[in-house]
Amino acid sequence: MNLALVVIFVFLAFALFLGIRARRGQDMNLEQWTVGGRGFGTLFVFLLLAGEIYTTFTFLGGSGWAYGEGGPAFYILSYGCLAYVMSYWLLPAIWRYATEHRLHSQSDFFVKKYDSKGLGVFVSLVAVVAMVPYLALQLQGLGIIVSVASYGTISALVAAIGDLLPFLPQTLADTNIGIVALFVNFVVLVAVSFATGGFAVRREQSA
Amino acid sequence: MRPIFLLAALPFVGILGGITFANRVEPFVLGMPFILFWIVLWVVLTSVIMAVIYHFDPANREDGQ
Repeated sequence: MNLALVVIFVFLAFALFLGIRARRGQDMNLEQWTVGGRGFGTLFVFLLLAGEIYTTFTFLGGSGWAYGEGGPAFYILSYGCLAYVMSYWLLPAIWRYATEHRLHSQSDFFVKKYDSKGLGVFVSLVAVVAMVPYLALQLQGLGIIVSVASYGTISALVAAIGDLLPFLPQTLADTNIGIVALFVNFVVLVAVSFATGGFAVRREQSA
Repeated sequence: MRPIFLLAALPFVGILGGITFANRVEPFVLGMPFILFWIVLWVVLTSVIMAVIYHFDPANREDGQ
């Protein structure tokens, strides 16, 4: 048991503790679960936004790209910066509209704003198709990070499954079928990411 | 459209327009190649510009109260 592993497990335990703790005294419903009962403060939203933009791509993809390709990797700094300039006008407008109409998700917004159920379904489908490979990649990246950080003691697959652990108390304690479905989705994602990842490695070796 | 909002065009000019002219390694600034320094400079300047816009945007005054 090396020091890195201790740090990883302390963080995992802390995340689990927070996950269990957070439910106390809260009536869990869809609004609580998706948008925290619309009670997020400025600092928390700021941290969430930071967590949103610093993904495993920042640590693995970005640095790997800069190492391999050099200068072109600077686009990462540029697009993030310019996207947030545009968000200044875009996001608060969406946020106000969503609060006013008590919306929960992206597809809710399209259903309400354009008064079209079909468009909402379409947006959901596009989101799922886009998010599955994206999340699979993120989990695979996280798995590699934890695996490397543990000096190879934990394999990447186990690490990726471990990344799901903070979701577990929520899933077990809640009869909400949507959350169970979400957890199953994540497990499927891990399976998909390693099936395709394994495939890519095999192809590389044979090439 | 308020005139102050035009400030938000500056990061686009600086990053997308200026990059062609800043595309060089020398001189090194703060240990960074000049192009990297240029982009980092604009990331910082963008924050300053957005802070100025936020300060003068009447939409934020209504919401704060």
